[in-house]
Amino acid sequence: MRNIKVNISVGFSETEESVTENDSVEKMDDGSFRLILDYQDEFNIDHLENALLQTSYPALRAALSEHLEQACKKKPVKNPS
Amino acid sequence: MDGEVGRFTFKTYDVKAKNNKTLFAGIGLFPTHKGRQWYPTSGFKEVALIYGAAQRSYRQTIQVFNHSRRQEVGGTPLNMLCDVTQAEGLKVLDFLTRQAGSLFKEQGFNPQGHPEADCTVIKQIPDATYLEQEQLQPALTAVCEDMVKKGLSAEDIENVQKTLFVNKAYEKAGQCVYVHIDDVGVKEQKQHRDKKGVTKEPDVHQKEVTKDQRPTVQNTVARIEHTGKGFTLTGRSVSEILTFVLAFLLNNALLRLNIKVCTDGQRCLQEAIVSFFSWHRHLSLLLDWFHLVKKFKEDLSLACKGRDIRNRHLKQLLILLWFPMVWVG
Repeated sequence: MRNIKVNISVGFSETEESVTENDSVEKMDDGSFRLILDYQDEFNIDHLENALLQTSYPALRAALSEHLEQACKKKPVKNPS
Repeated sequence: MDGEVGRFTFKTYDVKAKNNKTLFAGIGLFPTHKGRQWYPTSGFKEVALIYGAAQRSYRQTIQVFNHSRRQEVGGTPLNMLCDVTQAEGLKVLDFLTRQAGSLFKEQGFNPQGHPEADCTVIKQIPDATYLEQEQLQPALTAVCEDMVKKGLSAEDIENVQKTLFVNKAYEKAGQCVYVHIDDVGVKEQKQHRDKKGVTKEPDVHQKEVTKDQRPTVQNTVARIEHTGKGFTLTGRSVSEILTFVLAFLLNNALLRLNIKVCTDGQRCLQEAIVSFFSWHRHLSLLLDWFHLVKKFKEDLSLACKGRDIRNRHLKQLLILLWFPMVWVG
């Protein structure tokens, strides 16, 4: 049986893309989550903190949901009853 | 699933044979649930119950909980929090009942908490020990100084000193365990707060006694304290809480100490305690100062004609009651 690695990477980067409307987090095709803030928020600690949390929680839920679904799928193969 | 990370769903997969018979049901890998029940994780229980509903109202708890998980929309509804809290509370009570039952059996008590003929625990309860005169002296000196400040005569002070030595009323703190028992009623919580200024039209058929009355949940709470440490137990009734208290005392080897039970003046509560612990040689009931003064004021009102006369005597009599010089009063 193989062990389970928990892997997380969080960061800020500059982008030319437009600001996310209504502060709603977007799910990308590669499974990541993102939120694009206005350039004026660069030093706004409160907005940055909120954006991080707002992006992290859906990502956490999606990761856990995805893991459970996949684990459930492979179980019968590993241990057929 | 409903957890510390939020509320979400996921798919499970079944394996079926060619004849459509299920060979493996994916749902069987997870804890069994009825219908559309959500699985509350231990993180959910810790945050939403221990740090949440046990400290404040359901409404406040759910608001903070959903906000902190960034799931104000689609988060846990209030009804689920109520249901989970209730279910977990019942599990705790069942656990305590089972633990108390097995402890009683082990230590020679019947399931109701009464000692059987072969119960050795109660035979091992030692005689009460009191503070020696020299140990009592510093506290007594401080009390005498306070009595002088309050304007009491030298004769009164001497009488108090004599009475204290003769009565041997002061036990060693480490030799006593204090149990505070009281009934606590909690009003039913509503999902939404009533809007201010919106008055309900009175129901003409509503009975006077039930008007504006909200259903309450009655619990009995016991706080057990010994040498600076304490523990709080909650039960559904006085009889249940008394079995929990006895089990706690047995489990922590506190039954051999002098038990001081502090209650308000509620007669049926006092009678239940005395009757339950009737076999214990060193149990005494204490009426706390608040309720003692309350009762004293009520009785003084009966003895004095008019509020002015009562109030004139009250301050002086309370000083005598505090020290306690009831014979002078």
